[in-house]
Amino acid sequence: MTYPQPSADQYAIRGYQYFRLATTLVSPGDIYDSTQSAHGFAVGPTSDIANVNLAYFDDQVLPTYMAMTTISPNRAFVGRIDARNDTSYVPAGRAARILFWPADIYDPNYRPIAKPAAFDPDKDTINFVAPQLEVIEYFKPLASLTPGRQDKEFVFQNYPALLSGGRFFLVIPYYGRKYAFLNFTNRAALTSNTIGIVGVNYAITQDDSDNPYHQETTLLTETAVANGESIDHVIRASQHGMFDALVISLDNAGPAPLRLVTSDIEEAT
Amino acid sequence: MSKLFGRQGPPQRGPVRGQQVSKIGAVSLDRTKAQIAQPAVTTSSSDLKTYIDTYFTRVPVVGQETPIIYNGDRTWARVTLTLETAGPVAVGNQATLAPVLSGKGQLLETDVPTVFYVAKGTRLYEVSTGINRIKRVIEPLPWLEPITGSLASIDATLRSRAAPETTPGSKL
Repeated sequence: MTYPQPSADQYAIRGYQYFRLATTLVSPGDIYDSTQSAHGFAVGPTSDIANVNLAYFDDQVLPTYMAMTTISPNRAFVGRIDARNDTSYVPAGRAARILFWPADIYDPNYRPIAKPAAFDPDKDTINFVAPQLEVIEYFKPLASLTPGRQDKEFVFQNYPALLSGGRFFLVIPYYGRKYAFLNFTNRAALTSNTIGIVGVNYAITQDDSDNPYHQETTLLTETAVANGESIDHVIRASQHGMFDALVISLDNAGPAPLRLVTSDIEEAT
Repeated sequence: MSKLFGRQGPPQRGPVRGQQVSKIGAVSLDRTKAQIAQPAVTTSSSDLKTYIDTYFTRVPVVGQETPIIYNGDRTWARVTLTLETAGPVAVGNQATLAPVLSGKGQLLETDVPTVFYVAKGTRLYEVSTGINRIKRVIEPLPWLEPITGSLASIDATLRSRAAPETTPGSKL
């Protein structure tokens, strides 16, 4: 997260009609707040996180006075939610601001457990595309709100040089997405490049334990792509399921352009 | 002198033409005493100007006085308030407005101009739970005071003339 986080008050003072929080997640425990009341909350168009929890003051919710709800790309919240800076939650005693945080799990300590192979810290390399959280808080009344997220394109070309026998893992956020299209071409002069895709659903777990709880599903079995050759692959929610992240494995530093498009709308077969 | 005017001193006169009169009522310079400026006895040209600005509410602090969004010490006025943020902001003429959702004042609605005709001597207080942006337009209505005074005078006269004649012993 950006620290300190942007202040919703500054948006109000400057006459904006909304407060937009767009930040990159750093840890699973990131939590944000707003001292401004709202007439609506929605997941922003560039958000990788699909589900966002909201907490607000409600004196009928005992004993904490904290009511909670969740917004997603399919369901915004329209209606007034007050930031009650004049009172506090119980027993924390903290000001009853509006709180929001990702309901989806993110684990930057994830390392492949078994698919396509257990992570070898001596040979393998792993990079994360950190998920973006975007939440929009509206200060004005809204008749309706249809949020939706934009399709996202991830483009890569060259990868870290690997030790012999090592893999490079690329972890890309895929929360709530229903469709992905991958286009991969090996432009290396001589060598082949082996690509595989695994879908991961994070679990709350100790990463240093021998048996982390994260779930892995093979979406594309490791396939050697000869130099000059291409491979396309489509992932559909109805066919393959839904995942928190896609893990792409490669065994060559490239050049090998890789384009991945993810969408909330599942294209027909 | 004292025999002529008694203990009251010389009779008070209105301001003499050309004489400068403070627009601020008599106040004590003793800062240890709480005091409220008295309504002015004269109307100056500055009282006739329309006042347009943006008012920002603050996060309430326990022990602080209720903020005044319009002080009607000087003249009658038409005050238009338009909340630009989500609130909640309550407005009322009583200083004890808090808590904001208690109903002791009126809640402003976002983007809905709310008009108050504020009589001279009345204050408009606000209370909120945070920082809010409010469009404020104050249009002085100085003629409402003599009109109201005249109406009250006419009403009193009519009432006195319309009062039925009574005779001793009458139950009317």
